[in-house]
Amino acid sequence: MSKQRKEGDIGPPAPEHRFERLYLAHYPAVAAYVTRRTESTDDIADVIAETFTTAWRRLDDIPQGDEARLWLYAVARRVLANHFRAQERRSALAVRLREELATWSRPPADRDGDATYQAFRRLSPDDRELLTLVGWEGLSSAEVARVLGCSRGAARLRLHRARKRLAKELAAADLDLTTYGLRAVALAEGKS
Amino acid sequence: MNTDVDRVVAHLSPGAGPGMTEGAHALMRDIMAAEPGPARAVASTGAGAPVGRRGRRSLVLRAAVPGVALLAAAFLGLSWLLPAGLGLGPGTAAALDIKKEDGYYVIEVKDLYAESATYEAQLRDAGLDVTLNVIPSTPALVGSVFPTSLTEDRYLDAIKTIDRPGECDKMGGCPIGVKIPENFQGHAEITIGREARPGEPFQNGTAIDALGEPLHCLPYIGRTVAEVRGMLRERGVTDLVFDDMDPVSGGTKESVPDSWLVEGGSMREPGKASLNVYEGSEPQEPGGRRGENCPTS
Repeated sequence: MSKQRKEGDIGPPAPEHRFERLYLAHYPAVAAYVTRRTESTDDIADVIAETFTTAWRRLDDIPQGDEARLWLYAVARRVLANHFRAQERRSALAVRLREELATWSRPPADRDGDATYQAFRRLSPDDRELLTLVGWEGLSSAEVARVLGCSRGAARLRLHRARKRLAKELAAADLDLTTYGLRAVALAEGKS
Repeated sequence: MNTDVDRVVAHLSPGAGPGMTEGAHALMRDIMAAEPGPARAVASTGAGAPVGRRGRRSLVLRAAVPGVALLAAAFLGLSWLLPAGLGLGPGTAAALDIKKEDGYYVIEVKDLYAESATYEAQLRDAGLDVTLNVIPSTPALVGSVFPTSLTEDRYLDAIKTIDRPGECDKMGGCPIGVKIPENFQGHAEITIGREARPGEPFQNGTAIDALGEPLHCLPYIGRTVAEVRGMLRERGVTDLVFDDMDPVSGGTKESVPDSWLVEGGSMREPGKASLNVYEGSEPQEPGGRRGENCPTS
């Protein structure tokens, strides 16, 4: 059932309304964040459910505006980390979502040949996390800092190093860096 | 900028998933069925999602949210007699009148303002495992009856209401009673809407233009705050609060500019409404939820 209003619908009180706005505005981004980092569709449903349940419980703590999205990413990140430490947990919520995801066929990621992907996989989890927040979620280094809970300066520095390490891995894999542009070549050669 | 390396990474991105699906909407409703706020706060990434036994208030909210379809379902079954006037005050000998008739318990609420424990004791004495809540409700939901099973988290079709014959100006019908089959098994929780006392907040409500509510059949959505304020004043609603729908600056506000636009509303307590508002660039074509019972002219 959609939330299309109709005769007799409830006018939700403020918390419901705010949550609904937050949810509708940010669900796609949060769901994408989780989906990109999780293999099993059951896990995807659980992590999404727990992330938004946390948001509902802590509605008053959620910052306004686009900061809310970063707040949700940060929660999802923590939920993901915990989830993989306690795999047996299954949310009783998200039954329908789990059923949907089970029938959703994940399109194969275009990984531009295994060599690039393998180079990426050789990076540390921390490096991959930094790079994917930028490359997959499109965050700036300042936004990455908000999600990771570190200073902007630290985020910028760590991001720079991660980029440099990936460029080196790509070069070591004998991938033609010029495919990706001169900036990558410069990074791999330590000119940046 | 480091767009080149970033582009490599972006290229490796797995699919984002199916997006905002029906399941996503269902999850949102499930989550909101629980109480928000610090009272339920646990470690943010700790225990699993809150499930199972829900508080009474949240049960009512959950019952209310799906709207008409759910109400219609709730009204299918059982027979519990409510006084036609719903106005009996305290002081009667018993809060409930419970009789057995034709295989049913037929229950009439004599005192709408008694404590739940008083009802429950009387029901228990009659051999019924039933919790009865009578809560202040907006006009549309006065007399509404929600029979639910708290333990099984479902509506109880076996419990039936009896509607008053003839015209009815309430969106869920006009029940005059409830019947519980004598052989009913398990625990039932029944919530009945009563009128609110002056200043008493509604615990259950519906849209401000629903059948029985002040703006029924009046196109108010898309009008300015000033216009809707006038419409409400004509109908005795003089106290307003506002829910600013802006995701950045939003929240409950005591006042907003008269030029802002209204996109929804509900009654908070007798004579007091809450309007969902936003700073629109220009007035919209006035709209509203037109009910089946609106004049066609």
